[in-house]
Parts: sequence; C-alpha cells; structure tokens
Amino acid sequence: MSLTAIARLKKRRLLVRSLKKWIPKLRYLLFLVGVGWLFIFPSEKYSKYTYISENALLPGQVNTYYSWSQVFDATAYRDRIESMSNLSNIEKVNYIEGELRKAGLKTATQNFSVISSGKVISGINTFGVLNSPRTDGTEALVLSAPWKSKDGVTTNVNGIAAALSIVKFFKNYTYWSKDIIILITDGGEAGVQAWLESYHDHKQSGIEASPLLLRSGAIQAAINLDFPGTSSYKALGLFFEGLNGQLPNLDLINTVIRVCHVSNSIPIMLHDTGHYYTHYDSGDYRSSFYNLIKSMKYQALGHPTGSHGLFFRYKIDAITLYGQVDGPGNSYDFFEIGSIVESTFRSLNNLLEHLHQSFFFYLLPSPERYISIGSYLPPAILLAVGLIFHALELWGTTSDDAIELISSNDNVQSSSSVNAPASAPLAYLRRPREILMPVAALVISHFAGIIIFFVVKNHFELSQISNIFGIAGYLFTLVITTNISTIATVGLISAFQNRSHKIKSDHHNQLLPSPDWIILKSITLAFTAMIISCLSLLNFSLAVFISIIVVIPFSLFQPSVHQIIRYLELIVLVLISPPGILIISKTNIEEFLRWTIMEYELFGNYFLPFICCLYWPIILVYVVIIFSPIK
Amino acid sequence: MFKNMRNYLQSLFLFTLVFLTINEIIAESQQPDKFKEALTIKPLSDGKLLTHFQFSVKHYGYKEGVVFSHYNFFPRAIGQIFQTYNVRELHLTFTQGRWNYEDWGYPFVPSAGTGVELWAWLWKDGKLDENWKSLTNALAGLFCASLNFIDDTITVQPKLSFRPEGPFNETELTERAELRYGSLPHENVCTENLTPWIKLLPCKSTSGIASLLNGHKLYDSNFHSMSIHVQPSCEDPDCINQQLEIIQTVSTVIDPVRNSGKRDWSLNKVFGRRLSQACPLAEESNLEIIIPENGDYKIIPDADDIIQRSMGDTVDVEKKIAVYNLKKIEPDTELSMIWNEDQFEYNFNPVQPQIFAHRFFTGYGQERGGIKVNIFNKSPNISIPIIYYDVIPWYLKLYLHTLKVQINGKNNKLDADNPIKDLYFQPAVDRSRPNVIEAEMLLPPNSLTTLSIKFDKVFLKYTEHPPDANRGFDIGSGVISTGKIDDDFLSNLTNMSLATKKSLVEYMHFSIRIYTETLLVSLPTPDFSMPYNVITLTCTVIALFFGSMFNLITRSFVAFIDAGEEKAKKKIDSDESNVQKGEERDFDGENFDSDKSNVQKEEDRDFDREKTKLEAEKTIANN
Repeated sequence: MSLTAIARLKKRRLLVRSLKKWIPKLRYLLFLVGVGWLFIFPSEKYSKYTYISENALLPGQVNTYYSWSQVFDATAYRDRIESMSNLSNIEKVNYIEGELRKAGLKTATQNFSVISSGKVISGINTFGVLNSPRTDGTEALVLSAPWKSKDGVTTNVNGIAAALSIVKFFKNYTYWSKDIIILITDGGEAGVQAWLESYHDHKQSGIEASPLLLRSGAIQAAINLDFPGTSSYKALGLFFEGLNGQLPNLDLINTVIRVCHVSNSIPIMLHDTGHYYTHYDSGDYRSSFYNLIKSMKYQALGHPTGSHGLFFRYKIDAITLYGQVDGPGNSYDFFEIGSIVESTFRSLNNLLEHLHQSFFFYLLPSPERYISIGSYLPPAILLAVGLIFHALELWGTTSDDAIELISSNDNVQSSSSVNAPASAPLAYLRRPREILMPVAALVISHFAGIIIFFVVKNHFELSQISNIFGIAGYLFTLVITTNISTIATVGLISAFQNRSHKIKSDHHNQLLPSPDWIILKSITLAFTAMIISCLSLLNFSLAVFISIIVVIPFSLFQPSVHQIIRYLELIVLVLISPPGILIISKTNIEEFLRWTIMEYELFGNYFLPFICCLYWPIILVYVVIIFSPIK
Repeated sequence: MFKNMRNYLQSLFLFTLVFLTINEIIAESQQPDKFKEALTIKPLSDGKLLTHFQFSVKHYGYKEGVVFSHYNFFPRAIGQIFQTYNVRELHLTFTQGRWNYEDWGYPFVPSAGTGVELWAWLWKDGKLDENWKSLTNALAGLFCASLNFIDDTITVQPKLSFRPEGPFNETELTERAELRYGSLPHENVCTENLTPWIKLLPCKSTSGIASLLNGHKLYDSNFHSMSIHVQPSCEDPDCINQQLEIIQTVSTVIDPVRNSGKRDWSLNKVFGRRLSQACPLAEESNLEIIIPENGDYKIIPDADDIIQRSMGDTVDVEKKIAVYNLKKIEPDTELSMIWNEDQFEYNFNPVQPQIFAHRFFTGYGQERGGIKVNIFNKSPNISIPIIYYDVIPWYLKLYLHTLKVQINGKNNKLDADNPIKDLYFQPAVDRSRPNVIEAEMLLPPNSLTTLSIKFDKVFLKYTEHPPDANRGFDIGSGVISTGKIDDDFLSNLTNMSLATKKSLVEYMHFSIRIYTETLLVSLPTPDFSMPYNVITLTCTVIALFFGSMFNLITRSFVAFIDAGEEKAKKKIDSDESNVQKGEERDFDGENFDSDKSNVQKEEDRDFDREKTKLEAEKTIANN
C-alpha cells in the first residue's frame, strides 16, 4: 500500500471519527431545528399571499343577478323545509324532487344502506341535473347540500333552501358550459359516498345503493353548502381538508375567498375557529398558529371535514362553505349566499380544463396566505434525517469500530470484549453482524400489528361478546390488543435473552458478534425514518405529528443496566403507544373507534391501518429493544 | 358588304336552330329540377319548441356515372363534389347540443350526436379511399369545418348500421359500393357553417322560409342540428328512372319558457324576423304546426288547411297538422300560438319513446376505466331489434373479454336469453384505426339492457396531445338503429325466429337512429410545463456562464512589461514569472506575428540574464 493511500485512509478515519463525535449532537440539533422550523410556519414572513393561477377563473368579475325575487323563493323553501322536520324521509325527498322538477330539472333519487361500526346507516339521496343548453354535457359541476349540518344534529335548512333557489335561478341562463347537478344527500357522508360510487359505477365500500339512471358528464368541481338552521350568519367558514389529508386545488379556495371579499365583503374564517379575516388580512401569529394546528389535526386524522372531502378520490375539487352564526360585524343572508355561489359557479363555468394550475399541497395559516410544499417539507425531512444518521451510526458501531466502542463506551460494554485478540493488525475489528434475528423481530411485531388491526376493525362485533361479560366494549378490545402486544414483546424479549446466552457459550474464544439490540435499533430507526419521509409526501401533518412524538424517545432509549431506567422507558413507550395517547388525551374511546372504523370501512381512510400496522409495531419493537440484554 | 351580312345572318340562324334543338332534346330527356320548402313547428312536452326547416331539390334523370350536364336548382358545389369523388350517397350533419329523447321523442330526421357526422356510400372505382379523403377535404373547405381531420384513425366502415337511405339493391350495393363513416364530436357549429349552407339554397335567405334563418336566434337555443343529405330516389315504383335528391334541414329546439315562464311563441319572438313570401322558385312552400293533443291554446291566424299525418317520431299515431301555404300568405304575417295559462307546469311523467339510451364512463383515475350503455325498451310487450354501434378511439384499449350484457341488472348465462344476436368487433390498431363495436340485439319488452366493456388508457406521446387547453378527449356518440314497429315488422319478426340465420338487417328498414351522449375522457397527461422549465433553466445557465466562459477562452492575455519598474518586481518572485513566460511562449507560436514575438523573446532573454545574476548575488549574501 502506497503512502498516499494510507494517508487518505487516515484522513478518512479522522473524518469518520469527528463525524461520530458530532452525530449525537447533530441529531438533537436536527430535531431542534426541525421542530423550531415548524414554529416559524405561522409567522407572516414565512408564508406568501395566495394568487389566482388559472387565468380562466376570473373570480368576482361578473355581475351577479341573484336578487330579491330569488331570496323570496329561498325564504319560501326555508319555511317549507323547516315545517317538514317531523315528516318522514320519503316525504321530504318527494318535496325536494317535486320542487326541482317544477324548476324544469331532470331528477332522480337513490336509496342506500350500509351496516358499519355496528350501526345501520341508510337514507335517500335526491339529485337533479340542469342540462346546460347547446352543450354536449360532457362536463358537470356539483352543488351539494347535506340534510344534516356538520354537527350531525341541526338540519341544514338554509343550505338546502339556498341550493334550490340557486338552481332554479340558474335555469334561466344559457351561458352554462357545463351541466349543473344539485345533490341533496342523506345519512351524513355515507350518502355522498354512496352517490359518488354509483355515479362512477365503481363499488368500493359495502354500501348497497340503487344504481343511478340519471347522469351527466365528468364532474369538474363541487361546492357544498352547510348553512345550519334558519338564522342569518356573521362569517363564512371554509372547510377544505378531505379524506386522508387530500386538499382541493388552491385555486378553488382562492376563487371563493376572492368572490366573498370582492362582491360582498363577508369575513372569512378557516374552519370554525372564530378568527375572522377581511380582504388582505394576514392575521397575527396566534391565530395563524391556531389555524395551522386545526388544519393539520384534520389532515393527520385523514378525516374529511365535510361532504366535499369524499370528492377528491375521483379527482374532483370540492369545498364546503359553512355559515358561522356568531361573530362581529354585519350579518348576511340568502342574498349574499346566492351571489357568492352564483359568482363562484360563473368562474368555474369559465374553466376550459380541469383545475390543475395551482397548488395541491399547501398549508393555510390564514385564508389568503399559503405555505407551499417546498417550504413546509424540510422540517419533516430534517426530523427523519436525524433518525437516519443515528441508524447509520449504530450500524457502523456494530462492526467496524469495535475498539473505539470499547474505549468510549466502557460503562455500557462489559469488560469481556477487552479480551478480544490483541494481535489485530489494524485498528478495525470486523465483528460478525447477525441481522436475521432483529429483522425477524421487526417482522413479527408487524405481524402482531396486523392482528391488532383486525381485532380493532371488528371491535363492534367483539363488543357483542363483551356485553355478555358485562364490561365496556372498548375495554374488551383494549385487553385483547394489549395481550397481543404483550405476548409478542415478551416472546421476542425471551428469544433475545436465550440467544445472548447461546452466543456467549458458542463464541467464547472468538470475536463476539455485535449485540442484537444495536442492530435492531438501527434497523428500526431506519424503518421509522423511511415511514416518516414517505408519509411526509402523502400526509405531511401525520408525518410531523408522528415524528414529534417518536424522535426523542427513539433516539434516547436503549437497554440500561439500571432496571428503574428500563421501566421508566417502558412507561414512556406505553404512553406514546396508541392506547396510551387515547387515554392521556381523554378521548371518548368508543366514539373514536366508531368513526375511525366507519371511515376506514366506508371511505377507505388509512389512519386506522396506519396506526395499527405501522405505528403500534414500532413501539412494540422498542419495548423489545429496551428489555434485550446489553451484551 | 351585304353578302357578308347575309352570311352572318345565315350562320346566326343556323346556330340558333342547333342550339334550340339541343335545348329541346335536353328538355325532353329531363324535367326541370323541383324545389320544395317546409317549416314544421312542434310544441314539445316539456314546453320547448321544435322548429324544423326542410328544403329539398330533386334533379331528374339521374344515372350513375352520368355527368351533370347543367345545374338548375341543384347546388353546383355539391353536384361537382358528388360527381368528382364518385359518391353514391352523402350525409353530413352538424349538431350542437343534445337531443333529449326522453322528453322530446324522436326527431323528424335522425339528428346526429353532438359534433359533426359524415357518412357516405362511395362507388368502388379503385381509388375509393383517396376519394373519401378528398371528399372530406372538399366538404371541409365548403362548410368551413374541420372535416379534414377525419383521417384513418377516425374513419370506420360500419358493417350493419348506416344502410343507404335511398333505394338500393343489396347485391349491387355490396359488390359495387362501400360505406365510410367519420365523426368529430367536439366540432363546434356556428354561423360560419350556416352561411355556406344557406348559399346552397335556390333562394338563399332572401325569401321563403329560409329568410327566417337568423343565426343569432338559431344558436341561442337548446339544440341545433343542420344537415345535408344527397341521395338517389325513385321516380317510378320499379325504380328504373332515378332522381338525385338533396335534402337540407335545420332543426332547433327553442325554450320559450326560459324567459317568460309561458309556452307562448310567435315567429318574430322565435326567429327575430317576420315571414316574407314564399320562394318563387319553390313548387311547394308550406308552414306546418303540429297541433298538441291537449291543452288550451289558440293559433293566430287560422290555418289554410288541417290535415292528419303520421310523423316520424311516434308509432302509428296520426297527428293533426295545421298547414299554411306560403304562396298565398300575406307578406309580413305574424304567426303566433298563445296558451291560456299563467305559468307552464313541467310534466312529471313525460311520454317516453320506446327506445332510448344513455352511455357513461365507469371508474376513475387516469389508468383504466370502463364504458357502459343503458338501453331502455319501454314497449310493454314487444321485443325490439336494434343495432348498437360504437366507435372507440384507439387510445382506449378495449378488452373484448370484459364485454358484458345485463338485462335489468342480471347477468344472462343462457345463450337463448342473450340479447346479442350478432356481434361485430374490430380491434383498434394504434395510431391507425379505432375500435368498432356493432351488435345486433333483441331487447326484451319493458327492459333495461346494459352493455359494458373495460379499457386501459394509453399514455400518448406528448406531440399527440392537441395544442390547446387540455380538457380531455371527446368520444363520439354511440348509435342505436331501430325501425318503426308495425304489422309488417311483426310478421317479419316471426319469420325471422323461424329462419334465425338471416340477419335482421335484411328485414328491417332502420329508419330511426338514436344517438347517445358524447363522453369526455382524460388521459394520463405529461407535465407540459416541464420542458418549458428545463428550457428556462438551461437558458439561464447558458446566459450566465457561456458569456464569461467564451470570453475567457477566446481572449488572449498578454503580459505587459514596463522595462524599468516591472523588472525589479519580477526579480523577487521568479517562480511566477517563469510560469507566465511559459504561457506567453505558447501564445507566441499561435497568435503573434513574428516581429512582436521576437521582441518579446529578446526581452525574456534579458530578463533571464538578470535573474541569474540576481540569484548569484543572493547566494553570496546568504553565505
């Protein structure tokens, strides 16, 4: 070996050493930077003003003709709908269908029913199609209004009345380039799902629905009206998060906001947070922070915040307009609702192609400010990178630099490895890496996760059994899942202990393989980093929440000589496990299970499978790690 | 002088005589062209108003291959095209909007699906495909439409549908002529197509009912269809003498309810013009109003005549028709119909026609999908034979094994129950021909028959996307051909069940055509702005670096040495100057003329000498 090569090797070794010295600090630094970065998001300096990217939309550029005679119609509809509250579903549906028919629309109804999370959900959807004159009817826009408002109790009286009067009014004009479908859905979001599945003739869930014989073309966009009760409103809330954290094209939200500000100057609110915004109002740090947290919570849970959320799967951009009853300033009524919807539909009517120009990945700190994917992604990646550095460091430790490990980590390593052959020619020791067992542990715990998922999924069937024993349903499920977890972890721990004894007896004169826990931890960290970085693209919010919970404990925890520390670590792991989080946050577990299972079964929300099959198993592996033998 | 004059007169006389004789001969062999015009107005069940203009010119003494000797009323533009490209029958329809079969029944003439539809029977003359191509181009020029885009990837030869509308002999037809069909579903129809269409009429739009053709009103309607049919027809029962007939029609559906809430209409309101006198060239010029069966209304002024006739839209029901003879009518007559009602009430259960259909896409996403057709037979007790015809472009890859038929939502396993009696399927060839499905079916009474097939979407090359807004690709209408169900047909049907081998096509005159909706399919689309981004980025890089790099490479650097001052400086740093010297020598060889380089070299030598001296001094000093 030439001198230069040796010099290069020396240089490299120096570099590796200094890196290794810095990595532990670096990864905490990365965590701090990552989390700190998240706190910059609400700052006004970090986000940009939204803009209309699709030139064809021209929001707020048309004169609106929705006037008092339409308001008069809407008021009549409102009174009639309110008086029908005691009537049966069929009578209500007949009324709606009759009114649409009178307006000259083609109408149809759809019955559906499904059994999910132990409840029968059924209902009748009513819809009508306004065939735009002189067009080929290949494209359509949807104006939808559910029977019940988002709280599931109040009737969406004003929403339906407004929708009826608007469609009747739309019939008078010939400028529509797309058909307009009015959709009154029943049975909550299940009704929307039933209708969408039938419309696209693509059965996905267990919903039994009658086929549709009335259709229009490809749906380009949908506006959902949620104006509960019969009072007037103070502010307009926008709900836009859809299933699995999908978002509508930002142009759609911008259009609605611009229309509201330009034509009617109605204060806008993201969700129902109570923070109102006027035109070009960026809001303060606190309100932006609050908006972001709320939005990210919805996204992380993958929970559609309204009927609009189910349209996204079919590549239809949709948004819910919600009437907020209390707030400051002037109140608004049918007149403003009608003009906003009319103007928005006129803008959408201009579209020559599907909404595609603007962002699909964004965070909104306030209605008119956005953070694009390029700006919000780095923190999530930084958090994942910290884990990867740690994993690589451990991986290196398991083989090449055993001597250094001995010298630097004397307290962790037992003195037995000092007896390693002194005649080693180089300063590198190559210990065998045995990865089979750690990988098996990872696989087994994921397998346990899948079993847990099936148990949780069938929670409502199991609760029938638990009723026999007279205990609460969720306790029964909890007991089963914790039992599965315990069996898996205890089994794995004992397997590791047996193995370490065996290895000691097998290798007593040779070089010992690296401890299993290091390899296991290394693989688990790499796996977690992979999950987080992949997830950050699909569902940024979920990735961020998971990494904030997980990164610090996962970096710190390792088997300790002190039993107390081990048990302290165990307690923390139990607390950050799914049942632990549920109990800490004092969630109504029964309710939580009900909606997660329902959304999984009906809409295909991947939150439940993700938590059970990916998140829970990693926690289990960590329990195994902290209880495996140090050497 | 006089002699000359006489000769001249003689020859003139002779010439006139010959001319008159020839004229006489032509006149004997040929009757003059006949022109008829009619406007039919029909109130529809959902308050709309159908207006149907029909103009026909008959050219007598038509024989295949015989050149038009002269043009009278028959439009020369069409006649020449017809003759040059050896056409047997020609049908061209421009349509905007959808015909609503459920509320409006069947149209008077089969109005095509949205867009442009062209089909023609051409004589086999060895260059038929060339003729078809030229025909589409000629018509494109004539009607200002994109008909020239009907290329091989769109052209189809239907096997069962689109029989000739004129008289034909089956064996002669199959041996000597071929059918070509093409449609452009996303072709917009507007006044630039109407103007050349009107020019073909004998009276243009100056008089007669054609004067009502007002583009502003015609295109502000719910449906608009404009067509030209050129076909032979029989003069006598044995069809020995044939005529060539050109039928031009315009159908529009207008919605009087939209503005007033009432069904009342008048010619002035509908067309924005009043009726002038009949076209003087017309043999017949009528305005007909199909009188609704019920309702309280009056028509002003009273009709010249009220007749009963069966219309094409319903089965053996004779309708009362009010006829106005325009030859007798006063100029500027205002015709109107007034209903005695405050507001029109939409009919909740319209009388539906026997057969109608809806077609739609199934599934979502840009990878795969399916296409489904719901065909309804509303007849309570008659099985009705139909031919379903659908052309699917090559960029949807159909899978024939996924073709399924359902009746009332149930799969039919038994062959006997299978409504498909005969199926013709032409698989697509990428970039050269479309998929064609033609199915001969027998629809059970009061049933809903569903045909479905699945497909994969093709990832097109980026140049194959049209250079406009990426709205998607339009798929033309499916066509259902069926006939009138009468006693003749029923007896034929029983015969047919006895001899099942024989095709329905031979028994039935498929006079009714039902067009389904056109569809919009979105194919996987590349990021078109990406090449643009790449270009922008590359150009920026080039602009930033190329200039300076080019500058560095091409500029020659010459060290300028000032004899006195510079020498002292260079003495100190000998290393650097050596390098510099080397570089300069390189330049010497290439760029510098010898004079200059010599000077340089001498200087260098001086400098060298100086240096050695200096070094010697240095060593001494050190010692």
